[in-house]
Amino acid sequence: MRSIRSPQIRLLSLLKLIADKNRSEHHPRGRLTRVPYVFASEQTARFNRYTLNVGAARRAMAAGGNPTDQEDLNMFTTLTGFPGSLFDELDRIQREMDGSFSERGLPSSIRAAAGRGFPPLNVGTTPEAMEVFVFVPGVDSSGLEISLDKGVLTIAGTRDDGIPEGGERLDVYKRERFHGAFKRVISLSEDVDPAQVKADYRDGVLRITAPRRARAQPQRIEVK
Amino acid sequence: MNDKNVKKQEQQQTPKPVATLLPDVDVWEDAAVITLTADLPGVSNKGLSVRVDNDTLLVDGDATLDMPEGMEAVYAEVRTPHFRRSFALSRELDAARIDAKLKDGVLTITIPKAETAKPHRIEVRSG
Repeated sequence: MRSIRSPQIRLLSLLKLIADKNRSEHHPRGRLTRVPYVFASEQTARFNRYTLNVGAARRAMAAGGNPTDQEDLNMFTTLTGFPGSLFDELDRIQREMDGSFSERGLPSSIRAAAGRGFPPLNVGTTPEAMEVFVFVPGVDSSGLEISLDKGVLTIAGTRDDGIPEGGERLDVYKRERFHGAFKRVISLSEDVDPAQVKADYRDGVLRITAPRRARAQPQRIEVK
Repeated sequence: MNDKNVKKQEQQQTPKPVATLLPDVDVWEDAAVITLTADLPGVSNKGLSVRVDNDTLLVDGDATLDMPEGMEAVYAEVRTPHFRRSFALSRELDAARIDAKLKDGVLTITIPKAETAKPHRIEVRSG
């Protein structure tokens, strides 16, 4: 979907960014208290490199030493890079835009949640079965509840993000991963056989195979 | 090193543009380490690369799904199998002792702080 990105969309993204400014859930930096150790995006680092390198080189030359701009760069990233940088933010918005535009391509499910639902899922079909891939990393497979009723598939569970609760000297810089209880519901075709459904969890992807009933499978009709 | 050189160097490092997903991450810090967890569903040890280069931590993962032959996509929310995200490390971190672990599609990276950077109390002497 990258091909549809146009300057207009970029501009829209920026406008949306401004509109979003006060929404705290997307603005971890609103709660930011300190910045000594910092992760910044690669883009931020590059930006810093472009803008700050001249000064670094000049200082290094004045000192008569080898330009160790890397050290200066570290210092500047520490000072200017902050979690949830502008570029990350743009990326997130772009992702949302992609999400909403992509619905023009394939029909979206009537139960699809606005924005990004957790867990994301892909659905495929073969003549014999429907295949659902649920991207749900980091859960205990025994804690997943999967049910199929009249062609409606429900996947529910809980995920813990593993961040320790309020320990001493604990600072959380990013909390993007979904945590808590989740549930997704999609409708498969009516002809799947609930008794035959198989589920397999590997590398954080839950694959659900729902075979169609034998008589619902496509058959070749002879013309006499 | 002047600006032009830096730009050139970066162009060489920049890989071919491939549609990639920005994995969701959590980052937190306690007194001794910074921990980063990233969602990389479908990525196995084989498809994962974690690199530290010039104080940049780069996570690159390719998801593999075993799809049956002749499957047609009906609906898709995850549209590319490539995950990529990078982070600038700061000097206080000990990049040589980074530990990475992948379980059930969640990558956990722990980066210890250099001994000298750990918080310590400074005694104030009297007199």
